Amino acid sequence: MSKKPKNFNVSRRKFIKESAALGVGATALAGVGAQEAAAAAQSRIKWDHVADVVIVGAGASGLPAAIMARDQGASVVVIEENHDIGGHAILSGGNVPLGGGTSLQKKYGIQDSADQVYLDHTNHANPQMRWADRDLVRAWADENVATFEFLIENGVQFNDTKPVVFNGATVPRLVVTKVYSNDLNETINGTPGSGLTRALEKSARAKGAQFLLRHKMTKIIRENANSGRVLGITAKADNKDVHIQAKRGLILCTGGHTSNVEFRRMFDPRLTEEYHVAGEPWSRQTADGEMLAMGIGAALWNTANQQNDGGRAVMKTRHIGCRYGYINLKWNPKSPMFPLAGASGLTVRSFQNMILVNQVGQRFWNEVDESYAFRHAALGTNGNLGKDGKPNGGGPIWAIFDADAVMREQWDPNPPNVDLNGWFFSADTLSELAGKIKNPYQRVPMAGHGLEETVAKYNSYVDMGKDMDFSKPAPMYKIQKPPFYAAWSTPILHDTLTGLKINTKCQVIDTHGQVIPGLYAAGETAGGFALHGLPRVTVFGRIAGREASRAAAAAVKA
Amino acid sequence: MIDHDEKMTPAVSDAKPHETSLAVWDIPAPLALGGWAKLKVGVRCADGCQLTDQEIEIRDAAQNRIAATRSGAAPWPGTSGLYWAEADVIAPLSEGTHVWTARFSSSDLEMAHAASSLTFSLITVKPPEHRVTVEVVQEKTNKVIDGAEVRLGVFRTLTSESGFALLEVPHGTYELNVWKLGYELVMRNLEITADVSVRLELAVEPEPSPYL
Repeated sequence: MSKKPKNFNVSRRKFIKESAALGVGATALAGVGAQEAAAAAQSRIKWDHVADVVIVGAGASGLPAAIMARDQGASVVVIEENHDIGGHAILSGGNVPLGGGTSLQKKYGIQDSADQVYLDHTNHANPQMRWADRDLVRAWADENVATFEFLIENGVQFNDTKPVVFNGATVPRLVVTKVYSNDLNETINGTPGSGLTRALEKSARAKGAQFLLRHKMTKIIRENANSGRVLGITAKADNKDVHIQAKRGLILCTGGHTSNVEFRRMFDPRLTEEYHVAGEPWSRQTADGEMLAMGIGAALWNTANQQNDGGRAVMKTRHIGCRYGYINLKWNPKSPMFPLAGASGLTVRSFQNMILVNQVGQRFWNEVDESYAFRHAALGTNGNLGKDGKPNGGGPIWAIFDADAVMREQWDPNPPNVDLNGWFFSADTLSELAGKIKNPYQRVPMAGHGLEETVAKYNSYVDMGKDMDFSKPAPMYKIQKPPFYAAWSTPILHDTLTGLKINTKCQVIDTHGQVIPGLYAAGETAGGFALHGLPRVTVFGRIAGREASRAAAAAVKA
Repeated sequence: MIDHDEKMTPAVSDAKPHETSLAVWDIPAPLALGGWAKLKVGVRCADGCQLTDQEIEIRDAAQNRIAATRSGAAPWPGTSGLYWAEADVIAPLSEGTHVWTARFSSSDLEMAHAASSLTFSLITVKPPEHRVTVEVVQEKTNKVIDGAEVRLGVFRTLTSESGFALLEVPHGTYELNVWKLGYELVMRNLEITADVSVRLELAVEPEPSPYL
């Protein structure tokens, strides 16, 4: 057995003491000996794939990350749990309000600057913006132009129309991508977001990024439980474990947490199982990136954004009578996902044409109110006194309307517009309608007399022209002409607005404020900035790809 | 659906009665004091029995029988088994909101059917005294808006093709509401002491945000 050098233990103690003075967590220094042991253990992993940069999630942050990393000369593997790329972005409206003086803004004579982008997105008067980490907003603002031009260089086509003002901005910036093609197998739902994601996928593949579809990340491999660098991941594919080494960086672009009931309830305990999520059943925001990163010490960031009523965390349903009724995503009956989506929904042109009742058949708020006050009422106790062990959540909300409403709204209340598997009912009378409502989230049957009383009272308010309960302005139409309908109209969830703590290089930060070496996050997996959608996730995806590819390769050999 | 007629096999004595329920619709509003009006009532058997020629009565809040009618041979269009009829009623002589009840209790059906009732309201008003003419146009363009809902308290009508609506109302203070799908609601308080004309401009409702 070889002797250790004379000063080995002294220098080690000094090193630890000095590092502690700097505030480094003790666990970050498990000791050189322990690190060597861990490294030795990790070196025994048989890597199935090796790349400089491994990206988890092929959506609107993962795809720019992949391209940028390839542009930097890094080898890239992208894994995606779904059977195809795109995430939520492929279903999106393709709205990309990037500014700062993009080529499209200049073409239309619009003056803008990175400073103005920064000011618009840190405006204290805007509840979506006021809580932001301004370090991140600054970095984002400075990269707006570069990202926009990057998207165009990589094949993304925008409608050639003058940008418009959006979300309280002082300068017009909003532009829209073109739908990629007429092929619904390619676009999934025929929406402009396909123009962003399919173009970026094409470019990423052409540049040599390797895609592994149907691979679900199950573990982040780090040198030690809460110290050392991130080495790679384990993923599950065809029920087998696949180990993928990330020599320079692992980038989490897993799309957020909204589909994970336990995770989302950390920020809002009301959000129990009955609340469906926009983008499902195509893409689920399962918090896998967040949870695995938190498991190795990562911190969350800017959690106030998730429930400050500033963004689109909780939304009023617009397409009723189906599970997924988010206003800007109506499922096309010809979409390959339609059998799972169930129905397109009846699009409401005016909530004057119906009442909204809770699961005990009572109105709870002014139906035409689109503000968060409505959503809070929908998430209220709604007849649940909390004595049966399930007090949280507002329960199902049902739109109740009649044959006259169907005529006014010009609806066809039949499949594929409505889902008869528990999301839409019709009956000859109100009492019978209540009895027919059978849904997995309906805690108690709705009493027929209860619904009759609710409607009778509402009809009397229509006669008077005044809603004495909830001040619905000038209630217009009675609910009286048979047949009668009940359509699922429960609020639907949308944006993930908080996530992992990152710095301006998209490096993930742990709970001690230290960078987790080798770990990056972008898109809705990353927190700090509640700006919704494509402008944020594309910019940070590109930054993450650049920074990860520039990082020093891991010292641990494969 | 089960068809019943008077020659059907007698019911088993301990069979549970079929549930029934009612609907009342096309109630004119407002009604003139003491005026005649027609409304529609229908009865439905939960098991789909053909409840034709069944009496449905209407009683007021004091349980006085106001009217009775007998259901017709065919279900109301769009329903599978709501057997209906029109009922002639006389509006109360007092002004205000009245709560009445429609009631069904079968006595001449072979299969037992549970009784059912449904309360509904109607509103009565004093005789009109003044004419209110409302002209509705689109803000900025002055384009006439036809088919707009014009509500003056309990009185209501729609604008014509030329964008005009006429209401005859008693004197008093009213809230005027004008609205059409796609436009923002306009509200005004009006004191009506004589014939009057009002011109209102409606703003187009902004499109909801397209953003995903």
